[in-house]
Amino acid sequence: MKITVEVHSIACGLFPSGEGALNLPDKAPLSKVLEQLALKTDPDEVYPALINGTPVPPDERTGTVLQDGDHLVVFPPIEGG
Amino acid sequence: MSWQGKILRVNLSERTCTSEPLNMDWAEAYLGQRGLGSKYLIEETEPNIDPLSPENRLIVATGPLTGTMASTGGRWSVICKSPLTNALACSNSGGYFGAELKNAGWDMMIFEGKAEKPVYLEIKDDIALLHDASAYWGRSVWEIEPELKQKHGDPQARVASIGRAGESLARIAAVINDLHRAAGRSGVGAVMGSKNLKAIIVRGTGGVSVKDPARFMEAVRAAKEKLDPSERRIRLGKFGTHAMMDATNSFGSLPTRNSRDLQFEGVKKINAKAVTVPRLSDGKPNLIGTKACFGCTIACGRMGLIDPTYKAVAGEDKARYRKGTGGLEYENAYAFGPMCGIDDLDALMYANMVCNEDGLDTISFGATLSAAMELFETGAITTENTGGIDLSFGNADALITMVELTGKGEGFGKEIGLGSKRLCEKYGHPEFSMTVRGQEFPGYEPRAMKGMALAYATSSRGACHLRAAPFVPDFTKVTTEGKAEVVKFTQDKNALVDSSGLCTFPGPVWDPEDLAPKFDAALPGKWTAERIMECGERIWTMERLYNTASGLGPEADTLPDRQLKEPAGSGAAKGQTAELEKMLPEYYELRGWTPQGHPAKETLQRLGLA
Repeated sequence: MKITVEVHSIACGLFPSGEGALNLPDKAPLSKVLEQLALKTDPDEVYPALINGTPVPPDERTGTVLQDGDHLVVFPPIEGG
Repeated sequence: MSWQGKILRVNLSERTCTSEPLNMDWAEAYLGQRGLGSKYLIEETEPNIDPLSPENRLIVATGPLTGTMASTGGRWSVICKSPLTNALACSNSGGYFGAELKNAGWDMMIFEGKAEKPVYLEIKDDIALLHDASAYWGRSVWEIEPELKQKHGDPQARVASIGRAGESLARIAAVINDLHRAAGRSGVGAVMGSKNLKAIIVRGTGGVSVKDPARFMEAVRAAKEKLDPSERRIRLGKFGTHAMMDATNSFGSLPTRNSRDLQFEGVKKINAKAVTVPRLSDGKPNLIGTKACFGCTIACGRMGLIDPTYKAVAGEDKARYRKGTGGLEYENAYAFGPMCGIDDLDALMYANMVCNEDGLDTISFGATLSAAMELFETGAITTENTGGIDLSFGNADALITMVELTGKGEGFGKEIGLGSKRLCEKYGHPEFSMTVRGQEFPGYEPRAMKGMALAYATSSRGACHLRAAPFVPDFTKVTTEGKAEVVKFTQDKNALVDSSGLCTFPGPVWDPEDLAPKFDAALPGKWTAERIMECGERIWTMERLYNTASGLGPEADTLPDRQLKEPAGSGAAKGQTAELEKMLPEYYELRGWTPQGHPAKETLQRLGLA
């Protein structure tokens, strides 16, 4: 299956431009996909992840599997100013 | 020791400048800046005064750590009763002005009365003089700041001033310092204008001493060691606050077209990436550099350069705009862009420059223009009202014209200067005003960000994104659960940081345990995390009491009907409203307030406010 990915304001090893399409095995869990993206992240912080616009909290990412055609967005734990 | 122990009181009616000792009991309870300035305002004025009358005070306050070696220690505040909201106004700025004032030996300046004719204040260390400002009145911040420095022969002096917006008493006017830093919110510039005070120029050479210099520097070093390698600091330095736009748009919490929509189709033309793309005309991008405030190791500030061929800056008389200056950040880009439906990057940049030049709050200007656009599109106002200007959403030419008129207080710009609430009430549609306690929304939609809904509704200065910081929990899950606790904690923490001289941007990287050692090494007495957090809670509760006395208590803890009744049309919260009613009771309980939203007697006694 294939998903599309958008990464905002985080260095992304897999997609340096921040955007791309990813071929995945069926029932790939979100936690594994996030590892595959090779994001430069701070382990002490939570990075919001949305599947088709719906946020998936960290404790639900292992049990959440992606579907063909899904759109994944990841952005940093950003605060306003 | 860290506090200078001195206040400069300036009676503009009598044209006198007097030094008086700082009330140290109050300083220990309310720290400085927001907390201490508010305490003085509350003690010296009645809550029901006209904010634009001579009875109001204009208080310019530093914090105990302003001007020290502490990282981010360049913050200062303007405090008064707000002419926009009638609530307590406290607007925070950075740059170098605050540290200069502190180094001149002053913790605070209190302006009272009203000058008969326009004046400006000159401070050189402990000497303070009022001068005639008739040569500067009617002119912009960008014109007078360099002239004042030249006149006083000191390029290292720092200036805070108002532009024509403040002079014309626009209720969304800002005080601008260092050319493009702003004490922007709540109309503090109009209060300065109402007093006929055009500018303050200050030079300080005295330094700021701390209790235990070696231990203070060790505390500063430890805090920097934590901040410097953090992804948060690196990200803010690289992208500035502008990076927020992709997050809110993806999430569906980017207020668009006066909050009728929550995602903006033109976001890629105006986001943090767009400002880095070289343009065809001169091969340069909009973003040309970064800038930092006094003592800051983050450098979130942007320097921008408009396309020199852009229509709004053509001609000899517009040459000043074709130079590098303060650039786009998230809040101004949101307010001029998505909120008005405009995706023209150079129009946004131009509006930002004019707001700095003439002293306007960028958030309130953009959000009020968006309300006017909704009034226009629904026929409540027409070109007869606007002087022929087509105020359709998406019209970049309207943004260009309206920012010029509002900056000068002319034509329909005078009406934009009323702010969104008064404008919408005047034309019979108060429901179009996206405000809380009369202050316009920043760029976070409460229906999708439930913690921000509670933060806006309970904010002591009206809708504000800096009074609390529920951002990450909000982006992690669309729920009301747990939001009251995070809002209460970050309100208290931000109240203490806003009163300290430091910046809130290190955020969770510096928890109260990281902040306390700096206070303890700098100030007399013993300072713990618990003590500084109690100061934050005391300040928040004091603000509540003042606002309640001003008629803006629990009954004002609400949001516009659009957020309470109209479900979100897209994004993570599609189909949902703000659900404020689910959070308020828990919030009041956590604060030790009654179910009706008043601080309980035991809470007031515990905080020394009874």
